[in-house]
Amino acid sequence: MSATVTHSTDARSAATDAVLSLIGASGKLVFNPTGGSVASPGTAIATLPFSATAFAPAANGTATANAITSDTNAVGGTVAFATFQTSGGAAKVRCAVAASGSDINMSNGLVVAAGDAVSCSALTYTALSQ
Amino acid sequence: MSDIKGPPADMTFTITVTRKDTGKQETYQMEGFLVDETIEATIPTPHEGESQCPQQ
Repeated sequence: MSATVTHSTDARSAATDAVLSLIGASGKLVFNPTGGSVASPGTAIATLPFSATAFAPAANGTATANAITSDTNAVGGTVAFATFQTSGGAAKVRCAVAASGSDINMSNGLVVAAGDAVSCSALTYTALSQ
Repeated sequence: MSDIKGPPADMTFTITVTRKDTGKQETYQMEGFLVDETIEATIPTPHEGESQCPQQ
């Protein structure tokens, strides 16, 4: 048996906003290597502070992050996951990440060297796709 | 009966890495997918003479 659940647009937006509200003030976007879990996401390859209000309210189920501060001195490693964390370091969302529109070969993952600067823009999050 | 999967979620973002050694900028369009994480539970081993089956 398969199940299909469809939510109204306002329900999808409410779900996205509810999840993102858990980040609270002054959360951060953290890139992590393979392994770990949402409870223990592992080493931070790069840590990028969100704005005090991390995301604008969702529209059509999707929220877009406000300005994100760059990490100008990354720890370094191979990026496999991204986590949204509270200011205290508790991960609330964990995603496996991969290149989508890039034509650069990233079959070995995105490698960030120690001391590299990492910036992030146009970050969107959708809790429920339908 | 197939597995019932949770609702899909999605994130997209652009990441730019500026290399410390060369100053070269590399920009990537990225996607993220929520991760299924298995919740592990330990079933205690029954003592001798005990059964894990419910008593009738």
